[in-house]
Amino acid sequence: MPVYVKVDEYKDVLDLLNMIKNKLAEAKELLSRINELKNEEDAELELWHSGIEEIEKKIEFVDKALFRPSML
Amino acid sequence: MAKKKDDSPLYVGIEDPIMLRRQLLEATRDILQYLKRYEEFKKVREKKLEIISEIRAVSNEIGKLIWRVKRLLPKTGVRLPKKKIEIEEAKLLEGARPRVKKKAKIPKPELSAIEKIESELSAIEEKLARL
Repeated sequence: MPVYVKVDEYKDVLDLLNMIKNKLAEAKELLSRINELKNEEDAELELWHSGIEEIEKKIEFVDKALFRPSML
Repeated sequence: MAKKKDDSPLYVGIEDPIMLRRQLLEATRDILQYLKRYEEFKKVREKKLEIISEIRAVSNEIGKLIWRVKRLLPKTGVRLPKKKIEIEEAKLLEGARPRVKKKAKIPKPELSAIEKIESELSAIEEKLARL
């Protein structure tokens, strides 16, 4: 059973669908940008993690050195 | 008493003071570098939040546009019967992903094998209960 739509409204629908398509493409682009930023964040956090471990080692060295005074 | 302490102060010797100083300085330098990086990280986060709010706005716009399309299309009480809709959906899925159906067939024999094992197990359990 076919449904009939007025020509001008049909045109509007087509235009709207086009707009929706464009908006979806925009959303897709934004999403990939968010993903990129998230990856950047993750990489930075990973660097921090290893960096903090390095600092921990250094402080441990200092701590040991201070608790092991030289014997004269 | 305090005066006596000042007169004869005690010292603790530190072995390899240069290394110790170096380690402390390096740790301080690293911390400062990380503080600097944290500022950059904050900028990245702010940018991400901006984009998230942007994407929220875009999705709201999409919702509004869809609503407008819905409003333009005629309101009909005509609806396909449920079975017909399911058949059409299945056809669409077949057309879009022909492999899905094949994959869906795979777990069937596995399930039957599990069922077999389960029935065997229940039989054994029954036998054990009779003992």
